[in-house]
Parts: sequence; structure tokens; C-alpha cells
Amino acid sequence: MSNGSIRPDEVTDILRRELGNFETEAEEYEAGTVLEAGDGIATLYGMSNAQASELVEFPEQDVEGMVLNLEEDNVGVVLFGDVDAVSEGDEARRTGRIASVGVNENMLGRVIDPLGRPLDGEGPIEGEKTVLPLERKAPGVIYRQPVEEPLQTGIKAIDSMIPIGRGQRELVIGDRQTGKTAVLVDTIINQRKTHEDTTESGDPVYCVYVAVGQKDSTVAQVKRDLERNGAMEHTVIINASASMPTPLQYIAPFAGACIGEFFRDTGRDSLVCFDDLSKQAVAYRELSLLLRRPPGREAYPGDIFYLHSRLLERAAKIINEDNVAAQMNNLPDALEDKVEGGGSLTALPVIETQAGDVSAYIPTNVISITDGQIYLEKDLFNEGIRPAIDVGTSVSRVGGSAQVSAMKDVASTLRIDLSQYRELEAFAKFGSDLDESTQQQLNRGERLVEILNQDQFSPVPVEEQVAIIYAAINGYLDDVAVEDIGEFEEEYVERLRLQHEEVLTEIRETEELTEAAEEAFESVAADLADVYTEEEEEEQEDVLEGAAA
Amino acid sequence: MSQRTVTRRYATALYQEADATGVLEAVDDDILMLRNSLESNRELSRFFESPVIPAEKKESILQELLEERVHTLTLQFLRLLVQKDRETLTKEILDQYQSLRDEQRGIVDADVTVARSLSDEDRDLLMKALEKKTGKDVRLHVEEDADLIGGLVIRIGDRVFDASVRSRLNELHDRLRNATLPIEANGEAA
Repeated sequence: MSNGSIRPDEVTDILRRELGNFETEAEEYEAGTVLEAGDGIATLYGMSNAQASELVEFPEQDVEGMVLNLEEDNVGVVLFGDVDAVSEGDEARRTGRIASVGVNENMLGRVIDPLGRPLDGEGPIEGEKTVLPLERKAPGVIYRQPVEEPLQTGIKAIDSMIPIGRGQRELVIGDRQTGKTAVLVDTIINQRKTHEDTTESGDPVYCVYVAVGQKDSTVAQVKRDLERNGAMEHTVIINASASMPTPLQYIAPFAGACIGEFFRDTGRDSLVCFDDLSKQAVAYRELSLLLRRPPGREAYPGDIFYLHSRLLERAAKIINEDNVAAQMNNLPDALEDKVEGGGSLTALPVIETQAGDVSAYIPTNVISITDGQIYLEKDLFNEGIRPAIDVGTSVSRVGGSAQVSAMKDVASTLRIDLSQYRELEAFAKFGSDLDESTQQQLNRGERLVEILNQDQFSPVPVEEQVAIIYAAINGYLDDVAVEDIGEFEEEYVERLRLQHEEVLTEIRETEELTEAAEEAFESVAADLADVYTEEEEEEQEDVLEGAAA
Repeated sequence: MSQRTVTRRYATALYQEADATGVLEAVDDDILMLRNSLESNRELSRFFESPVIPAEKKESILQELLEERVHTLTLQFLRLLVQKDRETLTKEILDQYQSLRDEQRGIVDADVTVARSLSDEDRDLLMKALEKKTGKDVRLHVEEDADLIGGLVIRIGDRVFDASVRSRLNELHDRLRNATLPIEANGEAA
């Protein structure tokens, strides 16, 4: 008997077992009849006991749907599967199940659809699943605690000026092609550290990336980027691509929130990226119009604000007391004996603006719901600033209390310095002679902008961010040529790692900026600055000599 | 306003008026007669549905046609429908009236689909079983469908009891397909 082959009698055995368990009992179910069907919507007659957001099946067509409209004499259902298969007169059955996703840890590293079915061709998701309803009320006031633990994105501009805390909702907003997805992917990649080394960088953060209405090729690219940077092991990708039925695009963010909540309510930290909510709003508008709900502004239905507010309200930092957390409101039965306090769900929703118009309907809605926004600007992007964050209009309303104190110390004036620089820069374009202090400010500003520039997929640990910003703020870079800044930064960090590793470790562990650390930064920065200034002088001399000859 | 809302309102009005004036029995008979005539007589149903015939003419035809045959209340009701431009819904309103009356008398319709025709004995047995289960009088409508292979499917309102051989076989088919073959780590079937 060779390995791996299956004997026919084993198959027979299994079939017999199945047959043995097969009971011939009459099936009892509630049925309805399709009155009309089209555009992914079916109106059913009958089924008078159906519940809102209950799953309905069409057995003949092998299609599932979800109840969205309950009217006096009919039921409106949105279809998840082959939309054209269902037609007038077909039979529909109640399943008695509310739309939900089965969640477990084995989903990490996988690409799934909004109903939890794998899409990556790597076989079924093994293990027992906790079934959580898609729509669930957010935890109430007494089960929450203020945001205070940082969620490090590894992006210098964000961690220093727009800090994000665990449990916060920070909007990433900008035109197409301004690097919104890059910010999310970098943030997910930076969470790798929390899984490798939990003592130093906080509890592990489990990530969920929800792609709504995107190209499958874009999602494949994101997956590959995450894999290459070792971040896929702690990430679930939910894909409701542009070619999938609209109802799936509508429920995808809720499925993401579900998975995030699974980690949140079991005492762990999670990060859910919704990329992007404008497409979800468009999907919901389509469904609402087809269900004949009255259109409002920009033809969105009246409850479009509630759609996003109830979703983002599920982001929370849960109170760090197990017995209080266990009494949380609207807790699904499946979670009841698994609840632990102290978990969090951080949400990073994305909104795409049209031609920088943040005063359109959906952007203003989501801006008002979230705890701040990261605004990405096309002009800055074209100037070569990466990530193209507009510091003036970006804010974080609650993250400040979550920032590590070492960062607070060095970055406190960064925002003001930068906005003053932007103001002066516009002024200096007139070409008039500038006094020395203005010149000095412009000089400093240019260098600050340069050190906040950062390549994609290269998150910087917080202690190194502190070191770099310290050097820039204290003027050690003022005499270094702008084009050398990148090189300077690299060498500076390298030297700190070699010569003053203990200082970096100390900042990482205590989160404080000590005098010893400041001294170390100063000495290394000063030494290095000398090297670069001399180089520059030599170059200038060479040029002069060349001219003389 | 949806069609169902309209039909329910007219049907309820007719019932209440008949009940109040004590002519319920007569109206019930009239409605049954009218419903059957509409089913068998295409001319009559076309007459009600036609938008071309003016209202006055419809009224006078109704008067002439039905004066001798139905109770005054029924005739008045039909004329009201014509006056209110609702005569195109006559059939639906009559259906609604009948289901309203059935509900009050405690009668339910049961649609039974069988593979082979039922013997009278089985029919009685089924009727008794259903009456016991629903607690109401049952009106049986039996249909034959050889596709069921065996057994029967009963539908009462929204509820369906499926005890057909066809769906049993379908279920078995699904189960056998989904049965997993447990394979151990060394590739050997357990």
C-alpha cells in the first residue's frame, strides 16, 4: 500500500457512515416567491417573518441574498451571487441566519471575500470559527477607555505631527494617486515589529485590509508588497473587487470591522484599513436607488451618514478590566466566554476626493465622524514629497495623548516651524532680498521637509525618528546641503546604532528622552555635520579653482 | 399606494357593511359566484378591465346584468368601484375578500404537491393531520408532479413542509459531496 493513495473501501466506509447518519425527516421552512428581479435586487412576496439583514437562499439557482427592505407586503433582497440567475416566480427560502462572518486566527495571511470565503486558492480556512454578525452595535461608554497607547505607523511625518493612538479613527484623505494606500500598507508593515518583539513595541497588532471596489490587480499588488515585507502573517485581506456584486462591496467594511472586533474583544489590538469608503458609499447609493429609497444630496440616501458613523463607531479601546468588558453590550453569543478587556480596534478609513474637494458630501461626513485626518496633497506629491502629507490641514484630535514623551519633546515645534516655512516660501518666491533670520528660517524649513521625506516600505522605528528630528530641530543640519540630507540621515542613524545602541534602546523602552541621549545625538550630529560641510567647501573650492584655471 | 393596500381597504369595507346590515351570507354567495364567473367568462373580466368603456356605461351594464342576480349591497359595491376608477382591481378585491372571510372562519388553504394521485383514504388522513397541526379547517388543493419521485410537499401560507423523495436525494447528494476524507499527516487515509 503506497503512501497517499486511498483505498476504495475507505471511501465506501465514509459514504456508508454519511448514509447511516442520514435521517429521513421532512424539511420545514418558510418560503417566498420572487415578484420581480433585476440589477441585483429581488422583491419577494410572502416570507412575512423575515428579519432585517437575514440571509435568504434561492435553492434552485444556488444564490444567496440579504434582506434589506421590509415592507408591508413585500421583502427587498440584495443578491450576493449570480445576479441574472434569479427571475420572477422563483422560490426563496429563509435561512434564519443573520448575515455574519466566521472568524478565527487561521484567517491571518489569507485573502477572503466579505462572507469569509477564501479567494486566494490556498484551500479552505481550517479550524473552529467564531461566527460574528456583520452589523453589531458599537460598545457603549462604560466599556471604553481613552486612547493612550500609540500605534506607530513608522512614517516620520505621521508619528511626529499627527500621532495615532490604538482605538482611534484616523481618516486618510486625498485625490487619486497621492499615496493613500501606501500610507496604509506602510502602517501594516510597521506592525511586524509588534509581533516579533512584544516587550519593546507594545502588544501585537493584527491588521485587516479591506479593499472595496478596487481592481483585483491592485489587491494582488498589496498582497505581494505585504508578503515581501513579512507583513502578511499578521494581516487578513478582505477583497470586494469592482467586479463583485454591489452588495458585497457594501458589506465588506462591516466584515472587516467584524474581524477587527474578534481581536478587540479577545483582548488584543487590531488595525482595520478601509480602502476606501467613498466606493462603499457609491455601492450603497446604487443599492438604495434600486430599492427605491428616496435620494438625497448627490443622490446618496438619507442614511449614508449613519452607514459610516455606525461602522467607524466600532473602533474603540476597550476598558482594561475583564469583568466589566465581559458585560459589554450587544455581545454575540459566540464571543461570550472569550471576552477579555484591554483590546482595541483602530480604524484607518480612506476617502478619495475629486480634484482636492474636501467639502463634497461624503468627505465632510467622514471628516466629522473621525478623530482627525491625514490629508494627502497632489501638489506636494508632484513636488516629490513622500508621503505627500499636508501638515497644515492634517490633524489628530486624540492621538496627542498617545504620543511617546520623547517624541513629544522633540516634535513639539515641528508643526509650527513647517507651517511658517510654507508661508515664507510663498513670500520668498517674489525674489526680494531677505534678511538673515528669514533666510535662516527658510533654510531650516527646507531641511525639515527633507528629513520628513521617506521611501515606501521603509518604516522608521520611533527611537530613530526621535534622533533624526532632534538633529534637524536643533540646527545640526543647517549647514548640510539639502541634497545630502538623505545620505546624512542614513549615516547618522548608522553611527548611532554602532556607537550609542544603549541610548536608542533606552528611548524605545522608557519612551523618555534623557540627557545622555541628547548628548549622544548632539555629538554624533555635530561630527557628521562637520564632515558634510567640509566636503561641500572642498567642492566649492574645486569649482572656483576650475574657473580660475 | 400599493395595490394590496387598496384591495384590502375595499374588501374590508364590503365585509364590515355586509356584517352591519346582516347580509353577510348573501354577499358571500355573490362574491363566490362573481369570482367563478370572472374565472370562466373572459368577456366579463375584459369588461371590468377595459379602460375604453366609459364609467356611465359600465354602471348601466352592471345594473342590467346583475340586478336580478345579486344582493343590492353587492351591486352598490361594484358601482362604487366603477365610480372610484377601481373596477380594474375587481378580481384582486374579490380574492382579498375571500381570504379575509377564510381567516375569520378559520379556514386555511393548503397546496399539496404529490408524485402520484392520492387515494381518498390518504386524502382524509392528510386532511386530518393538517387540521390537527394548524388547528384550523383545511381546504386542500392537490396537484400532481412526477418530478417529486415520491412523497409530498405541503405549502400553507409561507410555510413549506417538504417530505419529497426529490429533496431527500438532493440533500444526500450534497452531503456525500461535502463529506471529508480525513487524511493523516503521512498522507495515509485515517
